[in-house]
Amino acid sequence: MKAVKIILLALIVIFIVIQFIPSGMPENKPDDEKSIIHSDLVTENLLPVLRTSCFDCHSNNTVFPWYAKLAPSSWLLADHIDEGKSNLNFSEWENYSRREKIGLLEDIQEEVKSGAMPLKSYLLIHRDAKLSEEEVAIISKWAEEATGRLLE
Amino acid sequence: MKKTAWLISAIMVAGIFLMQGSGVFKSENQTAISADEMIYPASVKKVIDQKCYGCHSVKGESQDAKDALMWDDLPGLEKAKLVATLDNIIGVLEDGTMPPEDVIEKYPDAKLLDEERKVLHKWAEAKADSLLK
Repeated sequence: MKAVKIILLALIVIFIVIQFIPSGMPENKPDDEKSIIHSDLVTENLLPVLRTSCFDCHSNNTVFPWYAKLAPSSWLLADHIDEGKSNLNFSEWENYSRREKIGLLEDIQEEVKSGAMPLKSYLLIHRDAKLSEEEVAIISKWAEEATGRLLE
Repeated sequence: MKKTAWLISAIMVAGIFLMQGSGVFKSENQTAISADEMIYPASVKKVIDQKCYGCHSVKGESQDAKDALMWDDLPGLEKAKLVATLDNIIGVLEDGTMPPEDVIEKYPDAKLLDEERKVLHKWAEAKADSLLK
């Protein structure tokens, strides 16, 4: 019985201590003119879809859940967001070259059509982020048309 | 005397034209090439053959590798898809993720040398740029 108490106490102490380790969570920044929301490539029905299903990891405007402040879940989250943004950051859309945009638009289509994105682990908690067939179609059609315009 | 000089110059000029036509003065990238090589100049093709083709062609065993990239399919791709594929190739070259570590561990010769990386990178960028003109 005593052993159980000691282990429990140790776990609590560890939990408290790790809270002081910085998670390296990416910080939110207000969107400026570089954001895709100001791009003339974007259609009106697209933005709400991107906002609920993509922006948490692919923009500078993450809606942080409560566990984003608690280690160790905060470490995992920071990692995911970091990686997501390094692959595609809608807030910095205009920093991409035309070639990169076309490459990203192609990747976007592939990711949403195959269901690889949004990530399963993200959907577990963010049920509303799951893309319906209709939303997949909205994204794919937009990506295709945007590519066409970039090639003009 | 003057006449002979003229004649010799004329023959030399004609000779130069003839030699150009026959390919004596042609450098590697000027030689007539088939449609496939049009996309892959010899220097690029050499690197692809040695470092990429084992997995990214019909010879490849990994379906993942084949799904990700098939070098032989590039010439047939539509413009948008080709630009996107070139962009992916450039990204991979810049990140240095190919050939994968486990392949290099097994076959150390598979490692992409800096020189080779540059050859592919330069080619892919120029190709993408020309498509976006």
